[in-house]
Amino acid sequence: MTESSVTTTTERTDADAVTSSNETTTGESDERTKAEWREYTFDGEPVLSVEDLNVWYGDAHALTDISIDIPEKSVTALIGPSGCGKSTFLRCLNRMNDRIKGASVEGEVTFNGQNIYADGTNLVELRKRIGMVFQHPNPFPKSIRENVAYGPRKHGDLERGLVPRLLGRDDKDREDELVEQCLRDAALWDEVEDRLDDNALGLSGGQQQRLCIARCLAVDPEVILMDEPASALDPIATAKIEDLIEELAEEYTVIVVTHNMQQAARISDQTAVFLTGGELVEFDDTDKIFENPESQRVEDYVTGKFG
Amino acid sequence: MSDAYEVQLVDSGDTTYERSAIGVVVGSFGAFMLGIAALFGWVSTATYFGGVLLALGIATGMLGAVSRWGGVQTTPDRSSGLSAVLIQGFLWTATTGFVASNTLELGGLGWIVAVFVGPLVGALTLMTREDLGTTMPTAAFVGFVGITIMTGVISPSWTWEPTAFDAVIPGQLAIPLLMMVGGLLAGQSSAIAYDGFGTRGRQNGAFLLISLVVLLTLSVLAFLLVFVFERGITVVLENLTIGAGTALLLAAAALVVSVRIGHINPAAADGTDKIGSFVQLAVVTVLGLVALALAAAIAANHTISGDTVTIEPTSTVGALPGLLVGLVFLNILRRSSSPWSPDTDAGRTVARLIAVAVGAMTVLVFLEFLVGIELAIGGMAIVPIFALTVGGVSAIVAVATGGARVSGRTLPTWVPPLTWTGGVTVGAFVICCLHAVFTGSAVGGAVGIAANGAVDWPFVMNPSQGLGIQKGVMPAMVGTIWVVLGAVLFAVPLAVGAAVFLTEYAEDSLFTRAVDIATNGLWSTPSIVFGLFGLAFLVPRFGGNPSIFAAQLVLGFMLLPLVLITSREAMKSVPDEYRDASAALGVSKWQTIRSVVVPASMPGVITGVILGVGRIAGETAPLLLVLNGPNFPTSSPGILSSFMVRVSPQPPFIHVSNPALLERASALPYQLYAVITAGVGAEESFGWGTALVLLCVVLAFFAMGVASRRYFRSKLHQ
Amino acid sequence: MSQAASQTSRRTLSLVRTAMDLDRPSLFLVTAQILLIIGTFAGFVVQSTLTMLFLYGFLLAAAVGWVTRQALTAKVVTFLMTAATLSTLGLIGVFLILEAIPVVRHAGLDLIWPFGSNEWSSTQGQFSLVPMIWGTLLTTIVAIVIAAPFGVAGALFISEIAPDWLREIVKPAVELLAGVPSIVYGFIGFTIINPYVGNLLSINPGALFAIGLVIGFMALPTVISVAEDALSAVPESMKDGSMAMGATDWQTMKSVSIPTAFSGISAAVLLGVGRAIGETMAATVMISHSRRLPKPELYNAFDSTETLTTLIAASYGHVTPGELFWSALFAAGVLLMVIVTGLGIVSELVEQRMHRKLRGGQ
Repeated sequence: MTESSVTTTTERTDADAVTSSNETTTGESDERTKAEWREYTFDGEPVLSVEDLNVWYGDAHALTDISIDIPEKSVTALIGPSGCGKSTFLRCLNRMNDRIKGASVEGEVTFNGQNIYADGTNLVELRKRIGMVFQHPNPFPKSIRENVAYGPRKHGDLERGLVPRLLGRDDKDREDELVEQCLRDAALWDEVEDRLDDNALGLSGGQQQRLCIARCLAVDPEVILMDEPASALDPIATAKIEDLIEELAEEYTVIVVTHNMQQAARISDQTAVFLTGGELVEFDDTDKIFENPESQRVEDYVTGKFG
Repeated sequence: MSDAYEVQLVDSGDTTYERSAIGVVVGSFGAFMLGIAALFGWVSTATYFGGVLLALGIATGMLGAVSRWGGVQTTPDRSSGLSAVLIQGFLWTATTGFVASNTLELGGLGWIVAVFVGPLVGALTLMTREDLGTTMPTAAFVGFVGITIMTGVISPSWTWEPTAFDAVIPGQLAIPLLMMVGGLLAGQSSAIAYDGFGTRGRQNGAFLLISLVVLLTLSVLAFLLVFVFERGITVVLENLTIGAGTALLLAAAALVVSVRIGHINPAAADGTDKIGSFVQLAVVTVLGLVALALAAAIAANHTISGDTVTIEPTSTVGALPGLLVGLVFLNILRRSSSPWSPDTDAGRTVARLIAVAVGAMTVLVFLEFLVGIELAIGGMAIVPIFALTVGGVSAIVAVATGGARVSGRTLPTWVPPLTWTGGVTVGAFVICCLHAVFTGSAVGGAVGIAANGAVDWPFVMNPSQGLGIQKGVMPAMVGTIWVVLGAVLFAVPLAVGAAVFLTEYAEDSLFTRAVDIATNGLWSTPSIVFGLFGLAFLVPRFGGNPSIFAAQLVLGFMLLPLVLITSREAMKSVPDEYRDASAALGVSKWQTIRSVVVPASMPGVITGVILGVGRIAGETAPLLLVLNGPNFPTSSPGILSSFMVRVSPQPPFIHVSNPALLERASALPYQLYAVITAGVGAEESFGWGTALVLLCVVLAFFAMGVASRRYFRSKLHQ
Repeated sequence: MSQAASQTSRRTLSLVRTAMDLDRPSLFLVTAQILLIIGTFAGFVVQSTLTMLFLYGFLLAAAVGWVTRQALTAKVVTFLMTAATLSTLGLIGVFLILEAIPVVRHAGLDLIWPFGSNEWSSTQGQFSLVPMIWGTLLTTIVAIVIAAPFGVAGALFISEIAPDWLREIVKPAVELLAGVPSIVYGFIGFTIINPYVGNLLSINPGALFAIGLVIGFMALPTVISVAEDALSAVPESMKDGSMAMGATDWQTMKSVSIPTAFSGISAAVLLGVGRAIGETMAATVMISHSRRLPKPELYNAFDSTETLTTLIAASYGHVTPGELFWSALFAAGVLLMVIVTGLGIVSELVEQRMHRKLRGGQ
């Protein structure tokens, strides 16, 4: 019994694989292969595991049945035409969608074994462990040092101020160390080391974005979410950010949303493709996605036939 | 961070600790409300208050102790924050100082002791872990105050007479205040404890305080409104007599209007609209019941009389109320009507007939207005008979149309749509009312339109002085109307014109910056200064006495910056695309302004005018100086009838004048002030009535302004 | 300054050039309109009988211009309307000062100098505004102690803390509070608050601190609405950045929203102070009008004296134009204008400084 069923399965898959590469069909076979396209095997436990995630903005269905496992300490790129829900998906991972009026989320997002959408989730703790860099740099109107040290100060890891000084516990030295380390990691230290007390808004766009990355690193997250981090920057700054992302992946899990396919091909280890309808169509090694994708729609997208 | 324990990503939910913390929060709120109740005299101050505070103190202390030593997993910081240190330091310095110097009668020495104790407590708070530092000092303070009250050291009969202030502070005041302070402190500490101290706990405490502040502010507002309403409504409604027929008509009109606006079905609405539609449903139900009751009263010929209001079972309708209601109905019908262009000859004839009939009625009634007497042939008044015939015919057709629609039969094409026939019927009714108003003669007999006497509302319709009559605010209301009208006519064109120039023509320069400074300066100038200006500049040039005209100009100057600022914003928010599109079609700049920018910004301008009028209608200070009328006027100013035009050989050759405008008068806010300064105790009720009327007028403008802003905003977003 | 001067000269030159481009009738119409309205204004100020004639002339010129050269007339007329707004403030200042000069000449610096002969006695010819200034100061302090923290808290609540449905209730309620006329507040203060406080504390009615309390509630909506505007203007992206790093809402408010909106919040408080200083009717009705400094101590807020605004409002009936008392009232008015304008200037400067900080300067 088992043998025949095994053979039947393989037969079926081969046949369907042939048909799928020639045209886009509707019906049962398409559904089965689609689910397979989304599965991506890798070593180790996934750091983030998403199951049947659905998001609505009011009545608009923004994300449909997303299931994906993100491997750790690597760069995962999310690509797709605009409006397909990539940023929405990203914001679900650190529950920033909560801040959008009219957004409703169904499904499970598991981070290190715990469902972050369970009642009683400590959002402060969650966002300490999953950091985010936004599309448009958003430094605070404070000094560069204060920007980088913002997270640790707010979490109580660095004690600065009148009270700690009175108690002899002022962490100025630790803070200076942390600020230097993070700015070095963000490849910004050389440019700002002698003006740490200047207003951060006086930096250029690329510098501001790297400052935001340094700020994010100071909190020591496990995962870094990046929503089109270089789209608002000029090519030179973009190149610097891309180098930075590759370096970061040695320590952190990085998930990058980008609408620039070449960028995704350059920097990521694996790529997930979102297409119209808020659908995750395929998730695989970056090389595979760009050279030989399973889905016809994905192939059309990466070869530029639409999007 | 804390050395407490590793923070979980997902909390397990409500623990006993959290539930007890909430209990203490609720208890603190209760203590706070108890203090307020005692302050207002609803509850008498007693020694058990102290027991409440003591319990609160103990509970708060326990929350801290359990967190520190009881094995409950909380996330306090290593030391308390600066704000906690400062508050505790200040609190303990003040308390120790008062107790030591007054109760223990140590005088100045007491304060020296306090200067030691206070900072000591502050330092202790600083050095201990946050959970202890937030709860223990508060617990000690609240408990200490509780014991003081319980043991009678501060009892309701206690007094304190500080020499610096010439006042006696009794226990009646001190105990409620202490309750409130104690409740506040304990509530904040327990709110912080609820979320386990640390950043989330402190957020909870801060949000509690802020919400309490907002609640307090809103209660003051609610209290104010309720108070004025409660004390004023009996005065305003005193001896109000209304005919049941008129009342029924008004109720029916209100019913129709409230069904038309908004959504009546709560199930279909969401969010705040749901609350609104519930309210609307309630209103409609009440109106329906009222209408039924009135109809029953008419049928049974039964006079309904309450304490103040009397409803007489007359089946006639007052002319003015009827006119008002008719116009409202016409407006509703016009809004929901669609153009009717008949195809057949018969249809066109009918349409023409309707137009002729309506036109004839209007012309006739207008003639009556000009001539002032009833047009009659052979003793029978033309207008009512004509109108009644036309109205009757259209009513029958309307009913037939309605019936046909219900039973599903089709009608011949020459029958006008329901809105048209309905409109003609209502129009005929309006004409009859106008006839009654212009000629003073009633239409119809027992069922018909009465020329006057349908509504007798002494408070609104009487002057405030006269032999044997009840005091009323009519002169004050007329004064307010004229002054506000004049101000609007003066200020709005000026402000809109200046706004047009500043947004469309002027470029950023010294001139525009000077105008900005001047506008802001005008906006923040105190109202009494405007009065002084009127007194110094306007009054000497317009007759040397305070006058209505001077008041109109002064209030106009006050209205000017308000309308200017809102108009400028309205015009700035007209998108440049509109102007570009118009210019691209070759239209000149002025034409663009006239036909694109000004109409598009009209909604914002109108809203600004309405809100500005609401503000100046309540202004008293300038009126004191430049209107300065009699405290209790006996008659209303008659402006319309006093216009005169003279021709003379001296310049300026043509002389337009209105002596009534140059007289003193009263206005609603001024009347209220007069009641206060007249000082006789018996007048206080008149003051409450005037205050209620003034409040209603101002709030009506405010409501209209907010409604118009919403209406235009929703239209813009379609 | 020199930049403004060169800008103005450039503008005037371009204006002259446009004037020269006009054809004869237009130039005539424009000159006629401008001259006639200036004539009307001048005639009005000096109370000449020719004023109405000039006015008719202007109306005629404007009508002719409207029919023949509408666009040009519209531009001129709207410009004149703008100039009228500008001149109003100037007129107010000039005429107030004119009327105040006699008492300034009489009393000199004693009007405002607290350490000279600082008493007010109209019968003895002593006119010092010091008791009134002190009264204004005390009531304003009490008012701001209420209005500033309550106002900022209310603004925080409305813009950051409240859920949508609650915001839609609270915001109109605050505007409603602003719309209640001050005489109504005064009436309630007179009939309810004064007797209650007087009975409770065994003092004469009209305590300055009770008045300050009422004025504080009247100034509160001003502070709330301006501060709330400032807080809403903080970019959402900045708040998102703070939240995404795991800061709580309250931390975000304290460290991002409030510092960024600080200029607006200070402007709000200053506007509230201005409103409290200028508040007249509620205070006039409640206060005891004893024109002396508080006894037994200067800071005794339970005593009742007089403020700058109540002095003017209460004395209007007992003064004849031209006498020193009359002039003293105007001096009080001038002082009010100076204080309120000064507050406005300070708040403008504060806002400018914060704008520079937000742009990344320094």
